[in-house]
Amino acid sequence: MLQSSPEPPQEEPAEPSAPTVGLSGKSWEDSTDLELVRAAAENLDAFGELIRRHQDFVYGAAMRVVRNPSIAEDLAQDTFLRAFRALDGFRGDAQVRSWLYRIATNLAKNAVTRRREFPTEEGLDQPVFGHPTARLEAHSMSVDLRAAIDRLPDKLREPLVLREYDELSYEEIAERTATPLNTIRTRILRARRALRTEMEDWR
Amino acid sequence: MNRDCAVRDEELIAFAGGEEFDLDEHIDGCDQCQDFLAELWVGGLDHDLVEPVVQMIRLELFLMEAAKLGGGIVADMMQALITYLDPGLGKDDK
Repeated sequence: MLQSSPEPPQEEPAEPSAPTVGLSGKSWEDSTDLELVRAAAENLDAFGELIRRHQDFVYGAAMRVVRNPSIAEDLAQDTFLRAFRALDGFRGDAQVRSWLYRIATNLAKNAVTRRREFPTEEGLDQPVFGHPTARLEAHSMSVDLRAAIDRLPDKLREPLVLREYDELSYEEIAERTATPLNTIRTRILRARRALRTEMEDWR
Repeated sequence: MNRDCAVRDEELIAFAGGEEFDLDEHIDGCDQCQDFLAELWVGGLDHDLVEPVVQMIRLELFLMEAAKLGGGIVADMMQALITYLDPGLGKDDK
């Protein structure tokens, strides 16, 4: 993994010695995907080139499933983050693009499944980029949902927000709020039920 | 376009539009179909993701390094980050 000193992250200074070429002497632009993957753990410029090269494709793959531009963009970012974390596990048996495609598609499908169980601000089943009426409806739903969340009792709202927005695990929420795990589970369940009831008109 | 797999352009266009779910598994392993989709999806993204993703990775690496120094520091930093992202979260629950 990349060695970094424990200093706050900041803009990289324009170091003349910053490596812009791969190990073989080629520029990153001329490197193959596999060369970029192999260099990426030690050099973020290489990973940046990989992102630049495949970002439209990854976004398209996510967009195909979720049909919502902002969610697809988030998923595309998440895809590259997960790919970076999994660099060590990529053996090169498959094409890099296929690997990214699989990550993006799985993330997008999971997002759709989760959002069906718990509708969030932007409805995944409604293409908000489509007809203006659909956009207005999505916005209205977003306003209603936020209001419904705000109306939840504090004890239900906090674990729900930590779970759905911050994507913490039940264990993490229990630890952070100093509340027993089963209590957290129950509160999140109750919060979801309450929201479903509140949002009944949108179904 | 002629592809070895014989999947038609129309099918791939429908797939890209969120239909033709049966093709999902095939696309996963077909370079030629992916080439077509890559062309189809060029320019779909409004923003360049390089900078935001690289920044997140830098932050993650920094936190990993900081974690070696002590969990308390990381917890404080994560709390600061959460407060920055959502200032109202949890404040009125105490």
